[in-house]
Amino acid sequence: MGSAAVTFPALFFRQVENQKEKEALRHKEYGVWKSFTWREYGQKVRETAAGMLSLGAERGDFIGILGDNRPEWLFCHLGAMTIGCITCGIYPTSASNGIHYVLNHTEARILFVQDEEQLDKVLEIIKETNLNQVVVWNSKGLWGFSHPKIMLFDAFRDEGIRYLNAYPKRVDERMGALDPEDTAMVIYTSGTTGPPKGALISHRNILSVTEAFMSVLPADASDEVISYLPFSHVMENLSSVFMGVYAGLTVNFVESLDTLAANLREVSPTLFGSVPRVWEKLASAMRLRMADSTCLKKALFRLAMAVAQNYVSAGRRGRTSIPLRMVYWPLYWLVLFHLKRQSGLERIRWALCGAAPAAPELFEFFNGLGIALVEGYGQTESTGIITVTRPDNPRLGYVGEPIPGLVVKIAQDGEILVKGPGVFKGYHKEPQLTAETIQDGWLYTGDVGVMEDGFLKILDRKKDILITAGGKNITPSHMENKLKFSPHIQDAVVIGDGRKYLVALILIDEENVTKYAQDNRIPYTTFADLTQNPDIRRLIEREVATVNKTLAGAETIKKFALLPRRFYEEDGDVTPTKKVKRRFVEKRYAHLIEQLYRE
Amino acid sequence: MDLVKSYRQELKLIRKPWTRFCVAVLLVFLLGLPWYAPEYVTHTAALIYIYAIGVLGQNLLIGVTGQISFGQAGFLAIGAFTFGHLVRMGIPWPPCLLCAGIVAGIFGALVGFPSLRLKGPYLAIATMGFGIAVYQVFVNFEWLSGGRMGLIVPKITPPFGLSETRFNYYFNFLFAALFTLLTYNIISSFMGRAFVAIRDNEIAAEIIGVSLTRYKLISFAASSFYMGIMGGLYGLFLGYLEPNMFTFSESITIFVAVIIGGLAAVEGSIMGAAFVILVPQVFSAYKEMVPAIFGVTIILVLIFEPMGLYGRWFKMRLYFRNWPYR
Repeated sequence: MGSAAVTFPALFFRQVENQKEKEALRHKEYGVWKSFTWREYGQKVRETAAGMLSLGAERGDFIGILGDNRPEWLFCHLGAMTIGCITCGIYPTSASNGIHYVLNHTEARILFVQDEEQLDKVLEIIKETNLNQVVVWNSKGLWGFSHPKIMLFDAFRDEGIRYLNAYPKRVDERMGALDPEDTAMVIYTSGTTGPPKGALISHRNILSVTEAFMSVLPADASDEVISYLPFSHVMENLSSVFMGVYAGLTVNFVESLDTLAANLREVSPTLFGSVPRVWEKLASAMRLRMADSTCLKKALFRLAMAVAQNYVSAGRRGRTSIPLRMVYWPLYWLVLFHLKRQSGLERIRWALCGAAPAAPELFEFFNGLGIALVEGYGQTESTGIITVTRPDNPRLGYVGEPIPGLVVKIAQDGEILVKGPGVFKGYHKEPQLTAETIQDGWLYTGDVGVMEDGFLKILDRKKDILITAGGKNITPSHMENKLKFSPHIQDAVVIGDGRKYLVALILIDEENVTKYAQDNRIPYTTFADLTQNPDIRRLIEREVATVNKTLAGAETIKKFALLPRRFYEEDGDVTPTKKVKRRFVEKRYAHLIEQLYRE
Repeated sequence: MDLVKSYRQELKLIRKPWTRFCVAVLLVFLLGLPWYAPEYVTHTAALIYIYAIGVLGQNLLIGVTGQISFGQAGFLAIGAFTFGHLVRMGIPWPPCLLCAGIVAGIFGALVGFPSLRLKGPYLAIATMGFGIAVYQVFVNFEWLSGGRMGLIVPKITPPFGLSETRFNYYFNFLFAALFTLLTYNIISSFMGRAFVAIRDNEIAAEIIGVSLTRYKLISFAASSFYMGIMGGLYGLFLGYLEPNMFTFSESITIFVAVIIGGLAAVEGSIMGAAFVILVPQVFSAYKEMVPAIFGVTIILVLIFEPMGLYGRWFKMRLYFRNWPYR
């Protein structure tokens, strides 16, 4: 569906008309998948928009949404956009001070929260905010509770219906008055370096980026996606909202992040976009389960993967011989297809890995399975996408080519600059920062990269590049991604700025290492104890040695330390999207680092 | 892809097209069996169907509800003789069969009462006592059992010019199929879930609102109803009844069928029934050795497949379902 519509809600309601009784949203309730058709979806959005009007929402007001992915999120999201308000998603994992920061920064007057658990956090800070009304989607646990500023979603929707009956044209009038340059949403960047910044995204940003993205990776109404990344992040918006509405596809909400694997098997989406961490987890789960399999199955797996790697690399060179095909396809149907089926990936048409850097080995693995996993690069400030790999023209180690309409160039210092309709409007209440980020229409991404034959290669975040004592420029993410591809390593931080050699702080993958310990009868008591176990150290040593073999001399990890505790968002170790806050971690484990250099 | 969009869909007996195909092939195979298999095979298959009904019932009690019982032969005898006497009175067979089930069911509920207070071996002994008592009653009261001559049960004249063996085969196949479906239905209904809850943890079951008294009695009554029906069909199949058919060893045979087939497994019940009929028949050439061989086979099955024949079947399916994982 072409986007001749000038605003995103206009596109949405056009899609409602086109798709009518086709399933738009699915969510699981008491073990059964319930769905909303596009007609119902449109009606709910209209009712929610009217409900907001009945609460006095004005054009340009910020509407906060705090909750996990579920249909109500999208009703509120699109409802707010429809009447010219600005959606502001808050990470459900945020503590009350994080919620406080965002609510006060946006001066939101209306907030939607998922349930009693989220409401508890809001109640702690409600007096210090501008909130006039908090609407709770799920009334469970709130029986008998009353507060002048809090109402339940059912009552709110009834208000909306009453408002719609009284003023049937008001919602359409507000939608008609929208301008493409109006801000549709604000996305608070996860902030690996400082407090979150609110990136303002306009309707034009959304429409242009979606159209350009869809021209490279097309989707249609028969497609299905799974929604599980937080809506407060641009990537989930791109997949479930922008692409969902543009293509008229079906969005399936997971029950929770813990049930992602099971829900994937149930839904078998046709398109799947995720962060490297999830892809790494899927790959390591497959490899570990195969390691547990019978000898015959293991041998078949190894053979199939070896042939698949050859087949894929030959395909990349455009030289897949008939004998190779004759070996590959039987093995594909015998082994590889079933591996995909077991993970719910057998219907995937294309899959995207983005939002953080990933190791080329990850793409080799999934491409070998027959999954067209491509890498994309973008940031919130570019409305999600800058470059994406075309499935028919992949190049390993590169993040693809710029999407149509965007111009990418490399500055003198190697920084990636972007110009085009996807570049955001600016940071909310941060004119100075906006002026630093957008200069002459060019978005300064803060990433360092190179362009080769139209393909972009990301080296690292500008601020993260290390210069060793020997004067060698090192991009730590390159080594970190290789380390993270190991099923036993969850996260790694490579350190060496101004030092003689590189060291790494490694966080073990608890699930897989625990299993390793059990299988090898390694006794341990706590997580910290596990990390101090000599056998586990040897295991990680082997993993590091394997990675070192693929690295140049100066890039090799000479020493490493296993972190004694998990990363917690609440403690500031990671962002809500689980990206490691490098500076913070370096500071927290300064003693470990010093020890590594002293030894 | 396995999206369950309604409870009806979730409760569907066969959900996957491939399984539907396999079941259809099996049905065609079974329906055609009397036309290509030797007569003795057809005869044996009919007997397996009859046993399968009883084993299904006992599996409801032993496997699903977790109540050990050794009184099967008693209920079987009650059902069989009720049927025999009623048919001899000139009553058409369908109401007689129903009465056989109901009378056995009533006795089942009566025996179920001790189960409210007894558990494990104590319950086993109590039910065993009932089975032996029933046998003794039939042996000692000739007017009940027909005495030394036994009780002649008039057979049904086969319709459509079918031979007696073929008719018996289809007749019992129909009942076995009906009771298999009924068992599936019971297991997936509230009643079945209540049975499972009782088996897993009586206190927890009571806390979530399962009435132990009601559902234990229902379980006993239902399983005895199955045994009663089996008794009726058995009488009709043999055309003759005598108390010696219902000794304690018959209880053991059915108990073994439940265990060998696999506890709480519907398909296992049918496999268990087939096992207890076929093993003695296969080894019938070694006459006096048959009980020993039967016993050894049971030991071997239980050593190598503690989950019974259904467990083996389940693992085989799992092998392919989990392919290429373990």
